[in-house]
Amino acid sequence: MKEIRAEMAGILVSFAKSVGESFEAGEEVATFESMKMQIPVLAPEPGRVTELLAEPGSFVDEGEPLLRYE
Amino acid sequence: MRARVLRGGEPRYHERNAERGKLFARERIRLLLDPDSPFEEDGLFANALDPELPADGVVTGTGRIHGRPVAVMANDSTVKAGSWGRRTVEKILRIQERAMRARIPLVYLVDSAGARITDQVEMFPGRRGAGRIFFHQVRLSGVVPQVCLLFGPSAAGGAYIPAFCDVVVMVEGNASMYLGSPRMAEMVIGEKVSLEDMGGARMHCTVSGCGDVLVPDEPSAIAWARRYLSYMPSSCDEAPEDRPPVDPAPGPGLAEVVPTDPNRPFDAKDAIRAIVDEGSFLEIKELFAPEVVVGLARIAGRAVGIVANQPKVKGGVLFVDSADKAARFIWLCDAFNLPIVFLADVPGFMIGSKVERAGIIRHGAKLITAVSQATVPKVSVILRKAYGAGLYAMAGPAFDPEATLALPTAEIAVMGPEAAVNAVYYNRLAALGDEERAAEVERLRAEYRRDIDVVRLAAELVVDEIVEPERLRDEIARRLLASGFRPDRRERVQRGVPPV
Repeated sequence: MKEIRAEMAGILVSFAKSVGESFEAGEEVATFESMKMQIPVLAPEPGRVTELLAEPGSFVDEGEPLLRYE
Repeated sequence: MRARVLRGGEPRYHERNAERGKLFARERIRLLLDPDSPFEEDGLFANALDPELPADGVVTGTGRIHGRPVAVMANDSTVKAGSWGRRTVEKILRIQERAMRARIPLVYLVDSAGARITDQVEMFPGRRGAGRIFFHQVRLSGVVPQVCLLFGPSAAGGAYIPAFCDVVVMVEGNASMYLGSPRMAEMVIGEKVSLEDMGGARMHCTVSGCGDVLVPDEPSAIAWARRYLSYMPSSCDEAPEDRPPVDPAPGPGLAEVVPTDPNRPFDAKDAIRAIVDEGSFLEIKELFAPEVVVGLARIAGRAVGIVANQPKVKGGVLFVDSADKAARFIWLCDAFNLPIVFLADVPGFMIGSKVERAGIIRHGAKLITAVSQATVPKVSVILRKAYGAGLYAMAGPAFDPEATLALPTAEIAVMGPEAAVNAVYYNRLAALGDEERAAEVERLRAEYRRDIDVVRLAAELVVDEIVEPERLRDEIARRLLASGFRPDRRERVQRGVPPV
């Protein structure tokens, strides 16, 4: 089980994928906002979402997990 | 005997190396130098009375790259794993002294297991011991280019050779660097970790920042070094050589690349491609702190350094590692008479408790120190926005740029409209009803935007020129030419290119 983590402190705006959905390497799996900038969260490798670990609209610190995948 | 020494170590060590894609040290040198360049070697007979230590495991000498003399040191890993004995160290010291006297670049082809522990008293602590190699490197730093190509290990003290070079190219899978090996770590601190995780090439090029360029094989490393040296002068006394001007690569122009919406990502490398001579951009530290992009390029044939915020990574915000990356690159350009072009689209330095605890203030101060110290021509271009100390980090007006240029849609401000309105009018807005507040916020933001409009900034002489995107490259080239920069007539503090 692997995790995608926040690369910087900010707000998780929304997830682009739900549990069970697959993604490719480089695909945008969530939108993050930080420093008033829109930050796309890109998948480092292909996978399938197994669990969403953050609440849309909430603060996520650098290094904290956003979602779990396999 | 000469022939025997020139063959290096036993055939089985050559074969073992070849299986891993590792070339013989003398072959690496042959590929590095110009095809018609002789290699003038010194110290071939070092330790000649010992049949197992040809050239004492290191090859040193001079030759030509792009027709210009360079000094070379190459560990021979077929000889006791390239380890260092007394004479190995002495040969390295002497080639460094030669480079200093002749004011020529040094290329270190590193592939060494480190010190021969059995010989430690004669090669480690003394006045002509290994420490002197690093002392020389620091004294040479910023005087002549020093390039490290890491083909294998550079363990323990040996790791400091790459650390003091201007750039380090690492061959993935073979190159490694660490103060203590995994075996030592397990014994001395109890940690169990693989070689790759401890000090592998990829880790150093992506996480630690000790590596600048990750390549798949040795010929690529050697080709990269040759290309890098074509942007560098032989020493800090000279400017880099100009080449004939070449137009930028065909493709989307700046107007297409930079979105008008200030919060949407774009790729800084597309902007760079639209500005520099086609094919001339040579990126450094591509994989480390990618929220800032640094590298060498040519604009109308003239070699320059580029520092650009990368909006598509972390919004282009500056962090601890990006501050370090940019600072060191600025010191490198300043040492070797390379003008620097800053392409700014920066929301500022990162905020938050995590980065505060990591010392973002002092790392940012380091970057602003480098910007302030640089007396090569600086051209500051506001592509989209420059907020807060981000403006200072990108050589804003107070930092003696030749010019601060701005695209017509650029914004310079202490902070963005949203954060500013929130800061100044928080209490007033809190007292309003929801709908009223939303309208008032919009009104205040629009008022703020008018206040920081680029024409107003130009009217106040904050911005020196508003430049249409299609004209930006020519404007930058013009400013560089107009700088009248001469390496022999500049204010300069010899500080080298310090490790950060």
